[in-house]
Amino acid sequence: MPLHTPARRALLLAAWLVVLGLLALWNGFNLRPSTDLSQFLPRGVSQQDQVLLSQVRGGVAARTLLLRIGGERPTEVLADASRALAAQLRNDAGFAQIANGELDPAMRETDPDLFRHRYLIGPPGACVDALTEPGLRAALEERLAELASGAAMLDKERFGADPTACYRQLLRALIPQHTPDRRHGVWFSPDGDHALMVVVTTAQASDLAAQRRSVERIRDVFEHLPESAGLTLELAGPGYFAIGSEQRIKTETLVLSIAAGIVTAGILALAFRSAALVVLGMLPLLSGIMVGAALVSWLFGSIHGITLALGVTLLGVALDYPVHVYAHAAGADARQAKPVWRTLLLGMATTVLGYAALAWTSFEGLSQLGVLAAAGLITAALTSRYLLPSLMPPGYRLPERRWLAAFQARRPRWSPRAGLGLLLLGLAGLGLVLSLGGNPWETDIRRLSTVPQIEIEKDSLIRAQLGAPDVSRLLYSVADDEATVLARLEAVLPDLEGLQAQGLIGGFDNVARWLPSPQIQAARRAALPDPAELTARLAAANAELPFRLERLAPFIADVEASRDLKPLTVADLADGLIGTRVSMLLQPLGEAWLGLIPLSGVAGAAVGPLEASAERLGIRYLDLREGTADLLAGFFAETLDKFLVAALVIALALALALRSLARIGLVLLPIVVALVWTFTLLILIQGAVNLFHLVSLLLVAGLAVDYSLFLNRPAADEADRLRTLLSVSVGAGSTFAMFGFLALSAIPALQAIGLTVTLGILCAYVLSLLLARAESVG
Amino acid sequence: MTSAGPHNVRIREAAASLLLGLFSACIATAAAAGQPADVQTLMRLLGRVERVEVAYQERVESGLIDTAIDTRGNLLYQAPDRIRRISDDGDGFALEGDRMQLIRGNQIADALIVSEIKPLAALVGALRATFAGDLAALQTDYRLDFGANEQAWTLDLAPRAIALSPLFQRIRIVGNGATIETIEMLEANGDRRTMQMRLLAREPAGLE
Repeated sequence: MPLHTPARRALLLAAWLVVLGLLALWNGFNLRPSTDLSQFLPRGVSQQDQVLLSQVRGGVAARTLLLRIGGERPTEVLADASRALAAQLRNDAGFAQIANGELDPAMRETDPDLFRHRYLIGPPGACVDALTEPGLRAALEERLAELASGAAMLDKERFGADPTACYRQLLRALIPQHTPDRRHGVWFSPDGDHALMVVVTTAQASDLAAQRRSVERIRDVFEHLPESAGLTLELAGPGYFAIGSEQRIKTETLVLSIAAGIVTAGILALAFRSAALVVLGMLPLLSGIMVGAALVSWLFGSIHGITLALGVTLLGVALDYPVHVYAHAAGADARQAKPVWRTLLLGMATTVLGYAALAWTSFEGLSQLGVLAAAGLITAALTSRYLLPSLMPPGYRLPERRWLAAFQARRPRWSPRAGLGLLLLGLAGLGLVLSLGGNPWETDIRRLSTVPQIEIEKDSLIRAQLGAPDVSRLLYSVADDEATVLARLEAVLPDLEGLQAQGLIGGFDNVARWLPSPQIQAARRAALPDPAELTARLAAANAELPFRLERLAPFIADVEASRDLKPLTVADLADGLIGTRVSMLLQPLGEAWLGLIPLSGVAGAAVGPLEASAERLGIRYLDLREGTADLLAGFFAETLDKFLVAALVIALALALALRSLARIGLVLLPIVVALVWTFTLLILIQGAVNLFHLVSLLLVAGLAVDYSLFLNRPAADEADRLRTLLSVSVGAGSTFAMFGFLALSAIPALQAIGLTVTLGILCAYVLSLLLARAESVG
Repeated sequence: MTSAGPHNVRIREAAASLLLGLFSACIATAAAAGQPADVQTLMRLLGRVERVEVAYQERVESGLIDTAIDTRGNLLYQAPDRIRRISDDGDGFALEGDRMQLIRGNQIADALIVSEIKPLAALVGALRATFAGDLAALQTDYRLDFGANEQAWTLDLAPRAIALSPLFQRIRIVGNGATIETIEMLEANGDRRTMQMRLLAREPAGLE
C-alpha cells in the first residue's frame, strides 16, 4: 500500500467531497420526483389500458376533493358556512365544479343555448312529441292545473314560450339521480354532524403543485370566512391524499432517517470508537445514492419519487461495506485483507446482478429502480474498498473485545441437515399459509398507497355519507368522431334504464340523455310542425280550455326558429350551465373521442347484461378496480419472473466465484431459508404482499448473500474470524436499527419496507450464524 | 251643487258630525266585538292557535286565461310550522319546516327545500307566519299595514325586497278575531288569487 501523508488524505477527501457536491448539485437541478403512484404502473398497451390509466390518472374521480365541515355548532351554522365557502369557491377559476346541495345559482337562470335548442335536445315526451294536438291538450290541461294550484307561480314567465314545459323537463333530466341528505338546503351527513361538499379541480390530478394550491386555497378561504368560527374543515380525495402523502413522506422520512441515523451512528461509534470512521462510513452510501440517482435521471429524464425511496432502501446493503472495510483493514495486514476484498466485491457483484435483473422490465419504475440500485451499489462498494482504507486515521487499531471471542466460542453451529430441516419447515409453513390465505399478492391499487389507513377510512366514510360510492365501474366508447360516440352512448340508454328499473344498477350518468347525437337532433328538427300547422293544433287543443292563444305567440315563433338550428355539440356547451359536466363525460382521447358512462351501485348480476349490451353496441364495460388489479397482477407476474432470473443469476455468479458445489450449497442454504421464512412471516403478519414488500425482499436477499458469504469465508486465523463476526454483527445491527425505525412509520409503504427488512435481517443473520461453516471448508 | 248658504253649512256640519259619530261608533263596536286593536294584538291572538282546519275556495284570475278558475279544498295548519293544502282534485302541497312536498293527484310529485327558492320562501313564509302569529318573521320580508272595523281586520303585506316585487305586489289577509277569512294575492303581472276560508275545526276550542 502506498504511504499516505495527512496532506494526501485531506486532498483525497476533499476531491471526494467535491465530486459528491457536484453530483448533488446536478441531481438538484435534474431530479424531477413525481409521486403519482399510477405512474409506477406500466404504460398501457391496449386501448382499454389507456382508457383505464387516463381515468385513474386524470379522470373526474381523480380530480375530486371531498370536503366536510363539522363542529359543535347548530346545523344552521354549518349550512351557512357551507354556503359561504361554496359561493367563494365558485368564483375561483381553479375549481371546475362545486356541489354542496344548493341549487346551483346558474340553474335558476335560463341557459340561452339550452333554451334555444330545447326542442332538439329536451326529453321528447315534453318537447318534440308533445307538439301534437293531444300532446298540446294534455300539456295545457297540466298548465291549467298548475295555475290553479299555485305551482305555476315560479315558472309562469316561461309559459308563453314553453307551454309544454320542455325546458323544465330538460333541467329535471340534468339533476343527478342520487343526492345526499339535505338540511337547510345543503348536503349533510345522515347524522347531521357534518355539512358535505364535493369540489372538482380544473387541474390534473397528477399536477401535484396545482392540487396543493387548490387545497391551500380551500383551507385559506374557509379560515377567513366569518361563518367558519369554531368549525373545522376536513378534506379527502385522491388529490388531497397525493399532496398529503408527499408531505407526510417528506417529514416522516426526515424524522425517521434522522433517528435511524443517530442510532446507526451510535452503533458504529460503539463498535469502532472513532467519530471520524462513523462520518467517513456515510460517504460510500451517499456516493451510491448520488451516482445512482444521477444515472437514472440522465437515462430516463426524470426519477419517480418511489424509485428514489425504494432505491435508497435497496442501497441499505452499502451500509455494511464500510463496516467490513474498517474491521478488516484496521486489524489485518494487506495479505490477510486481500481475500476479504474478494468476498466484499463478490457479495456486491452478485447483489448487483440480482438488482440489474429488475432493469430489464417494461415497468419504467422498476427498471429505474434496478439501474439506481445497481449503479449505487457498485459505487458504494468501490469507494468503500478503494477510498476508505486510505482515509482511515493512520495507526487506527480495532478495539479489543472479549465478548466477541466468547460469543464466537459459544455460538451454536447447526449442521446443513438441520438447515435443510428449517427449509422444509419454512416451505411447509408457506404452503399452509398460502392454502389458507389464498392469493398472497395485493392487487388492490388503493392499498398500494402511501396514504395512512385512517385517511382511507375517512374517505370511504364521506363517500358513503354522500351516497356517492367510488365511481369505479363505467361504460366507455372510443370512436373517431363525437357523433359516433354519442350515437353509441344513446343506443345503450334503453338497456341502462331497464337495468336501473330492475334495480341491478343504482344509477348512471349518460351524456346522451341531454345531448342526443346529431342524427337524433336532426330527426327531431325534421319532425317539428310548421307555424300554420302548430297554430291549428294549438287552437284545436285549446278548444275547451280557457287559455288566450295570443299569449302563446312566442311558442309558435320558437318552434319555427328551431327548424333552422344546427344540432348542438359539446363545443357549443363549453361555457354554459353543463359545460364542465359534458366535457367530463365526452372528451378527446388523443386523436379520437372518448365517451364515458359512470355507473353507480352495480350489482354483481348486472355485470353480465352490461357486458352483453356493451358488446352489441360497440362500447366496453370497465371495472377500474378490476382493471388495475389485472394490471397489478401482470406487474407481480413480471416482477416474480425477474426475481427468479435474479435468483438464478445470483446462484450462477456464486457458483462461478466459489467453484465448489459444497460451498455453494453452504452459502445458499441460509439465504434461501431466510427468504422463505421472511416471506411466510410477512404473509402471516400483513395478510398480503405488495410491491414494497417484494422490493424489500430483494434487499434481504442482498444482505443475506453478504452475511452468508462473509461468515462462510475461510478465515486466516482466529483474529480474522473474530473480525468477520464483528463486521457482520455490527452491519446487521445497524441495518436492523435503521429499518426498525421505518417499521414504526404510519405510512403503509414505509412500514412495509421496514417490517420486511427487519424480519429479513433477523432471519438472515441468525441463520447465517447458525449454518456458517467457515472453518470446516478452507 | 248650488252656492253654499248658511243652511247648507249647517247641513254639512250635521252630516259631518253624524259621520264622525258613526265612525266613533264603529271603532267602539269593533273594539267591543273583539277585533284586535293593533297588529301586535292580532299576532298574539293568532299565535294561540295550535291547530286549525278550514275548507277553502280559491279563485285565480290570470291574463293567460279568459275565465277565472275556481278550486276548492282543505287546508290544515298545525303549530308551529306545518301546513297542508290539498284541493278536491288532489293537488296541493305539504309544508313542514324547510321541506315542501308538491302533491299532484294525491301523490308526492316533488320535494323542495323552501329556503333554496327565495320567492317561494317569502310566500310560504308569509302564509305560515300569519297562521303562527309570528310578527318578527313577517316584518323581515314585508311592510305591514293593519286596519280593523267592526266586522273584520285587514293586514296588508308589501314585499320589502326588490327581488320579490317583480313576482307579486301585495298580499291582503282579512280575518275576524282569531279566524283568517280571506287571503288575496296580487301578482306583479296583474294576476290575482283569492282564497276564502271557512273554519271547520280549531284548537284550542273557545278561541274567537
